[in-house]
Amino acid sequence: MISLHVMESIGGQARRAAPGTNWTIDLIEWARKCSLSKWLANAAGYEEAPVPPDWIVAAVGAGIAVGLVLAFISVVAMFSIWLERRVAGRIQSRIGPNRVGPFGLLQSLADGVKLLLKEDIIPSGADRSLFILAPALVMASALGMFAALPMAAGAGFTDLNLGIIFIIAVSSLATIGVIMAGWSSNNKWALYGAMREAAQVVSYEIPLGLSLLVPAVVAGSMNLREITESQSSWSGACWLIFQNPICLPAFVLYFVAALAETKRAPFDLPESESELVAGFHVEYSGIRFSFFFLEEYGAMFIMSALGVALFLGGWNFPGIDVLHGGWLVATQLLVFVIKSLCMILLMIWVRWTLPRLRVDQVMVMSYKYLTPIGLGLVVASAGWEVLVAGGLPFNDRPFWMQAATPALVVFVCLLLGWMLRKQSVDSAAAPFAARSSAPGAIQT
Amino acid sequence: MVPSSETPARGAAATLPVKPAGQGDYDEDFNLKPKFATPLARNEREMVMDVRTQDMEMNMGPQHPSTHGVLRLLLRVDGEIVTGAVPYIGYIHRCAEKIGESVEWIQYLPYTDRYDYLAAMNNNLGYSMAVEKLLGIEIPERAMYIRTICAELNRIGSHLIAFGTYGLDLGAFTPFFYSFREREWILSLFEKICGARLTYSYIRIGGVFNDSPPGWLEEVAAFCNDFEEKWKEYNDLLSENSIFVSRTANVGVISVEDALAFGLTGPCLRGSGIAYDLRKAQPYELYNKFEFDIPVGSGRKGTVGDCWDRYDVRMQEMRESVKIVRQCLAGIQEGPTLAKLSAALRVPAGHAYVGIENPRGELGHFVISGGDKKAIRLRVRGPSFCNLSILPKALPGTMLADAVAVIGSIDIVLGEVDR
Amino acid sequence: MASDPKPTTPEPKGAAAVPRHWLPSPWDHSLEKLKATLSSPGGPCDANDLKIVPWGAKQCEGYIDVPAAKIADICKVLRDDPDCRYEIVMCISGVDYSKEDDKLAIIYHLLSVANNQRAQIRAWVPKAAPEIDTVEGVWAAANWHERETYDFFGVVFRGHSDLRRILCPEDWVGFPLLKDYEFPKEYHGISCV
Repeated sequence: MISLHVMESIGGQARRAAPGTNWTIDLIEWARKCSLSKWLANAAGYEEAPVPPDWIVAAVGAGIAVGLVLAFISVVAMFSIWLERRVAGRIQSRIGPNRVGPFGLLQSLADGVKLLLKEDIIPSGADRSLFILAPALVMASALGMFAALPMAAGAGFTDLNLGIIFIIAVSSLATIGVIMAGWSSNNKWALYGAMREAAQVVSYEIPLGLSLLVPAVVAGSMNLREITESQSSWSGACWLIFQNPICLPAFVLYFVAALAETKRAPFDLPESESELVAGFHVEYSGIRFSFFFLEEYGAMFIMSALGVALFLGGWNFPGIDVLHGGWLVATQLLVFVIKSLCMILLMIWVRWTLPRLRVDQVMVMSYKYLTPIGLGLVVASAGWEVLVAGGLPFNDRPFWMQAATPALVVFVCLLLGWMLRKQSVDSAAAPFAARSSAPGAIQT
Repeated sequence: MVPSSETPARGAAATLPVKPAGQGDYDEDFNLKPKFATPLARNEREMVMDVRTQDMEMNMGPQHPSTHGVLRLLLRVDGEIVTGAVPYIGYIHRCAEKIGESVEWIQYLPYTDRYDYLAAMNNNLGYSMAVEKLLGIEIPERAMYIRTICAELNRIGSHLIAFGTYGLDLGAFTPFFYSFREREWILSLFEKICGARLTYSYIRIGGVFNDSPPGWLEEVAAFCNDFEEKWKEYNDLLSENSIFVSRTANVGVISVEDALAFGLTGPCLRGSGIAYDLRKAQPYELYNKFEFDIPVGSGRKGTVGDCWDRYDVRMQEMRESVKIVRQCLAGIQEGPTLAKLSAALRVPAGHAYVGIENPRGELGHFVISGGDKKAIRLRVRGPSFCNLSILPKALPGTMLADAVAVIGSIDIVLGEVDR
Repeated sequence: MASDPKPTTPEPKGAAAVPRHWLPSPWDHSLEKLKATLSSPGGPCDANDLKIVPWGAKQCEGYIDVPAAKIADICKVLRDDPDCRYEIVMCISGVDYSKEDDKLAIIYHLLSVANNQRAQIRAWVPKAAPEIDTVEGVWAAANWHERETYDFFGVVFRGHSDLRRILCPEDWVGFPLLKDYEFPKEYHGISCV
C-alpha cells in the first residue's frame, strides 16, 4: 500500500504486510470475475478484465483503509461527544441531550447533518487556500495517527517499529493545520489561538515524549504491537503500569501532557471561549468547523488509546484468552475501545471540574515541572530495569515488584498535591501579575 | 489610563494613538517608560527587551463572551500582555434619565428594573426611597421587612450570578449551573410574591405592591437553610481550587487609593480592604436592627485588592445576606404593606439624593421634583458605571486572560452602565 | 452611627413646619462648617462667593453654591481637608431646571469614606457657553461623570483628558437632557418617533 510505503520510510521496515492487503487483492479478484466487469471487458474487446497493476491494488487498499478509519473516527468522535455532553450534564445536575435516538445517542449525528447542511462561509479577508487547507490537514493528522494504533492482535492497520515516534510526529501535523487556520482567518482572536496552540503543543511534546520513553524503556521496544503483546497474561498483572513503580507517575505525566496536547481543559488555551471567543476556529463554520471538532475528539481518542496501549495493557484483559479466532479479535477490539473511552471519561471529568490555566502558567507547568520530572522518570525507570528488574520478562517478575506500584499511588498523590500547591505559591511572584500596591491607611 | 496627547474636539472620535518607538510608552530601547514601569517584574522587563514587536490593537466586544454584555474594550496588546485599554460603552443606552423626565413618578418604576437587571429589587428600592424622601411618607413596618428580605434575596441571586459567571470566565463551567440552580429558587420565590422573575417592580413608592402569599416566608426560611449547605459546596468547589486561586490571586490588584479615586463602591471597594457598606455606615430602612458583618478583602491568597478578594467578598456577603434574611423572618409582624398614595402622584418640589447598597455598590438616585407629576431631573448613579471606569487603570500590565478575570471580578452589568 | 434615617413621625400638615426628612441626615456635612472650611484663610474662595442653600429651604437638600471658576481648587480642598476627606465623587450631575433658565447647574455629590459623611456642592454655568474646569485631577472617577455630563448637557470641561460622548453615539446631534432639546426625526434612517 502506498501509505504503507510512506510509513515504512518513517518507521523502518515493516514487520509484516498490513492486514488489509490480502483481502484487497481478493476483493479486486472478485471484482474482476463479476459479470459487469466481464461485460465491460468484452465490450472493450478483451477476453476478461485485466489484472490491475499493483498501484491500483495499493490505492484501492488505501482507500478502503482510509474509509474504515474515517468511519471509525467519526463513530468514536460522535460517541465521545455524546459521552461528553451526557457526563457534563450529569456533573452539572442537568440532563444533557436526550431527544434524538435512545438516550440522545443520535444527537451528534443530527448535529453532524446540521453542520453539513450549513452555509460554508469563508471570510472575505481570509487567505482562501490556507483557510480551506487547514481543516483538511488537521483531519489528516487525526486519521494518520490511527494507522499505528494496535487495536487488537492482528487488527491494526500497520505495524511500525517506531510506532510511538510516528504517532507523536503525526500528531504535530495538526499544529500546523491549526496555525494555518489561525493565520488564514485574518482574525486577531484566531491568531492568538494559533500562537497559543503552537507554543503549547511544542512545549508539551517534550514531557509527552519523555513519558512515552518510559514504557519504551521498560518493554524494550518502540513497536506498539510488541509492547502490547508483552503485557498479556491471564491476570492482568503484566500491564505495564504495574511493572515498575516509575510507570505510574509516567502514566500520570502522560495523561497531563496528553490533556495539553489535545487542548483539553485545563489546557484549552488555544480555543478558550471566555478569552479568545473560540480561538483558532472562530471564523470556521459548517463542515469545516466540524472537521476541527472531529479532530479534537479523534485526537482525544488516539491519545487515550496510546496511553491504554502503552500503560494499561492495550487489548489485554484478564480472562480474555479463553476466546479464540474472530471472537478474540472482536473482544480485544472492544476491550481496547472501552479502555480508551474510560480515559476519555477521565478527560471529560477533568474538563468539567477545573478552571483554565493562564498561558504563562501552562508554560511554567511544562518547563519547570513536567519536563524535569519526565527526565527523571526516564532515568529512574532505566535504572530500575537494569538494577532491580534485571531485564526479566514481565511474566517472570516477582510479585513484590508489581505490588510496588499500588504502594506508590499514595506517594504520587501526595507529590501531585504538593506540586499544585507549589504552582499557586509560585504564581504569587508571577512575572505578569498585576503590580502590587501599598495597602492604604484608610480605616473606617 | 491610556494617555492621549491632546483633548480631542467636541464629539470627535478619539482613538488610541499609534506611537512609534520612542514616543509611546516605550523609549528607544523598548524599555517601558517610567509611567508604566512601576514595579516591573524582572522577567517582564526581559521579555520587553527581548521581543521587539509593535503593539497590536484589538477589539474585545461588544460581542464577546466575557465582557458580560455589550461592553467594547479597545485593547492594546503586546503579545499576551495588555498595555492599554479603553472601554467603549453605550451600546444599550436606553435614555433612562430622559425617560425619567417624561413619565410620571410611578410610571418610572419599571424602568428602574432595567438598569441592573440582576438586582431589580434593589433598584426598585433605591428609586422608591428617593421619591419617598421627597414625599416624606412613612412606610409600614411589614413593608420594610419584606423589602429587606427581597433586596437581600436579590443580592444573593446577583452574587450567585457573579460567582457562576466568574467561574465561566476562568474556564470552570460547572459552578455556573450550580449557581443558576440556587438562583432559580430565588426567582421562583419572587415569582410567587410578585409574578415576575426578572423585572419585578414589586417594591413601590410607599411600600411593596402586595403582601407575601401564605407560606412564602416559610419557604424563604427553607431556602436559607438549604442555601447555607450549598454555599459550602460552592466554596469548596471554586474558592480554594488551586488553579482558580492561581488565576485570581495577585491579579488585577486595585489599591485603596485607586479604588477611592475611581469611585469604586460595593464589593470592589471592600475587596480593596475598606469595610464600607452603606447598610452599616449609613443604615437605611431597617438595617440598623440587624446584626451582620462586612466582609473585607484580606489578601488571604495574595494581595489585598486582587481578584480573589473581590470574589471572596461576594461569596461571604451571600452568607451575611442569609443572616439578614433570617433576622427579618424572626422580626416580621402582620400589618399593612403599602402606604396610601394618590394614583396621580404629585411629589413636593425638592431635591433628594438617596444612595443604597446594591449588590454592585452604591446605587444613587438623585431626583429633582418641581412639585409636578413628573421629575425635573432623575439622575441615576449606577455603581457598575464607576466600577467599570477603573479598567483603563487596572488592565495595563495584566495578561489577556487576566483582563477577563479582572472584568469578571468587577462584576459589571451593562444595563446599569449604559442605563 | 446613628439612628434610623427614616422619619418616624408623619409629615406635619402645617405649611410652616419643615418636614423632618428635609433636615440633614446624621451623615450630611454641616453646610456652615463646610463653608468655613472652604473660605478659611488660604482656602480656595471668599466667604462671599459661597452661598448656602440650607436644608429645607425651597424644599431642597442643602447645597453650597460655589463659584464655577474655582471648582477644581474647591474640590481639591474637599478631598484633602481633614474635616472633609471626600475621597469619592458619587456623581456629577448636570441639571437644567427649566427652559427659561439661562444657566445650568452642575451638582457634585461627594462621599467621604473616612469620615462617613456626604456633601453636595453646586456650581452654575451659563447655558449659552457652558464651560467649567475639570475635576478629573482630583477624582479619577470624574472622567466618566464629566463625559456623561458633556454628553447630555454639552458642558465642556476644560482640561479634560478625553472629552467625548460616552453613552450616546459619537455622531449624535444635540444634548438630550437640555430642556429645549428637540428629538430628532430619525437617526441614520432609523425612525425616532
